Amino acid sequence: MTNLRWIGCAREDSHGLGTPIASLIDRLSRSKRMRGPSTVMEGGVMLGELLFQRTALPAVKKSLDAAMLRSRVIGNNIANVNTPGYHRLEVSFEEELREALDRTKLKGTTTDAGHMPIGRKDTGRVNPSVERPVDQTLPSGVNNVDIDTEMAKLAENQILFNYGIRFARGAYRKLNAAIQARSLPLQQ
Amino acid sequence: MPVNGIFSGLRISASGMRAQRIRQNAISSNLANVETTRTAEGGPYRREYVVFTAESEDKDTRLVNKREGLRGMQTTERHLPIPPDNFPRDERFFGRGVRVAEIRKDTRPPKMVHDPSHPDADQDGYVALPNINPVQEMTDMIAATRAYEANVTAFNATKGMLMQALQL
Repeated sequence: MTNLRWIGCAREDSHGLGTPIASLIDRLSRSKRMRGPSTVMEGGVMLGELLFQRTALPAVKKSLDAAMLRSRVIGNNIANVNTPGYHRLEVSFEEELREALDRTKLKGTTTDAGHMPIGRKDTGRVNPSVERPVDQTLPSGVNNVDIDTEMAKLAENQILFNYGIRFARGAYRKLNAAIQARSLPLQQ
Repeated sequence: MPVNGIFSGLRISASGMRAQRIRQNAISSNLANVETTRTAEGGPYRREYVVFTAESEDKDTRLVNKREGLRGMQTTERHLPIPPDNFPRDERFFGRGVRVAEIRKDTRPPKMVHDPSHPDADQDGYVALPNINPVQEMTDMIAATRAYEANVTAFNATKGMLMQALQL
């Protein structure tokens, strides 16, 4: 590779990372990226971008964020199961992520700081949000928290999180194996 | 209680556990005093019950008001959306768990039982016994136990997720 250049540009992600899990994962991914000057390939694509940004990892990272937030929100609903007049909270995220990942939608590339993002959102710009659904029913008699639904959502969320972790772990492991030029062990 | 931070999910579940434990204590006190006719404030013991309130939600207006950048209007359906600079909406509002607002005394009148031999009987032979229905207390106790268990499950789920994240 003769066309590798070294330039001294720090790579900063444009989006703020809200939750500690994200920063933890981000730090992990950063530590595996090249430190200091980034390697830029001929087409202007950075190695870190190729290895991390253009894979499924940013989406997985975001869904881990959402799962962590959701566990907090479900925990809050369960803690308030006997609070009169409490309105349950919900995290919405998947639909927005699905839209951001929809390749059939148009998307403008921002190449300058003055550019406005256009069309489909960047995965990095999709953030989970906490909402209060309008729901006038009273399943428990004092508020709209239904303990069975919350417990089911809790279990579902936990499995989703474990899946995300497993996926990310596998991806990092594969990268690591490629970097060290060895084959993956058959059992993981 | 800080809203953010890795352990806030655990703190929220812990607040639920604490609230249910206080409720359980009130129920135990009611059952223990089911026939108490003398109290410090005079008269029979009055049933105690706890009132829960949701911890005030945190609204981070600093982040909500941050609307930088242009925002395009869509006037026909063929227009592409030009999204505004995406502020971290997940910080907008959070629950922060539950809190026992107060422990109230039940205002229902005491049960009047005819027992002239009782030292606290009035001139007609009636004793004012606490306004406690043991069946209601028992069902409340089961509800409190189940709610406590639900909080423990939520706590363990969050804890499990944190442990998984450490193994990434």
